[in-house]
Amino acid sequence: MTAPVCLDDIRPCFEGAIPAAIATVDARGMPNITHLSQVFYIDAEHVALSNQFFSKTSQNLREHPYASVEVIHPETYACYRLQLRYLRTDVDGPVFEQLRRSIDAIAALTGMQHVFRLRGADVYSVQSCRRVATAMPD
Amino acid sequence: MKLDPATATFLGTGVSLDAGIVHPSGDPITVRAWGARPNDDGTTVRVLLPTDDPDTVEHVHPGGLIALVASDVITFRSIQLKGRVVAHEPESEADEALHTAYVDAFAAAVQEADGTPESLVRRLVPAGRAAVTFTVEQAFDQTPGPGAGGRLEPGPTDGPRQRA
Repeated sequence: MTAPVCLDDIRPCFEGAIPAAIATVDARGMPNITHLSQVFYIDAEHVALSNQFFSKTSQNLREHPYASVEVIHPETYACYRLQLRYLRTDVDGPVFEQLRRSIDAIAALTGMQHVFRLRGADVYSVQSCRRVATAMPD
Repeated sequence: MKLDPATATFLGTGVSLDAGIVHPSGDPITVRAWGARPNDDGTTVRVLLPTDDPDTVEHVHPGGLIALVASDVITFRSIQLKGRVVAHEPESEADEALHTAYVDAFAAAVQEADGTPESLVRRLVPAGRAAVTFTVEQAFDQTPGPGAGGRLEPGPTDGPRQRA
């Protein structure tokens, strides 16, 4: 297992340049995995995820409030796995507004304005963040 | 269920592959996959998961639950498969060939999508992989939009279409 990584050291991972993947599980333990536009940095211990059409993810979080996310550094392509605990969903306020502006920008860049619409900013505490080992040296 | 031929073919292209597995604590783990191939009748999928990180694939055992999402990095078309693991084996020579072809296709697709050099994408590639085979119990359309989450049409020998 690789050493813990501070979110402050990998801030470019949270700019929305590369889609991330999020896994959750339902009450019987079946995983659900989907891609999301952006993992949004709040502070060194919290992130927000864009909830656009995460119906199954949201349902799973009500049953088991833990998630796992992989993000990629857009400059180095180093990959990091974050283990998260769901705290709440913001539907207004500063985190929601910042995430909404960012999602709107990503949608414009990818031609998905008619599809991407932020429903809420899911706020999580970060339980761990570690570099995913690969064949390439650091 | 049985995957239709078009869905099976989709898995064999340079799509982004991510698996969801379950830690013994019950928490989910996201792990990038490095090649996937359905069997001849589309009832199981063999997926290559990295062995570099001992805290991931070591938790995959026969009988365990797994999900796999495959996304076209250019069109965003996505599907998700869910099922139960039936085998966890070392990578075979055929798996190595699948992996090599997959990395080539994936790196080329990412470069076409956003101009990222293939050499940069290849930095994600793990040193070692294991082959995990799972039965396909559910398949979903995961393409971004209001239709995401709808069940995919089963193969011709399966029952009628359902909605999630």
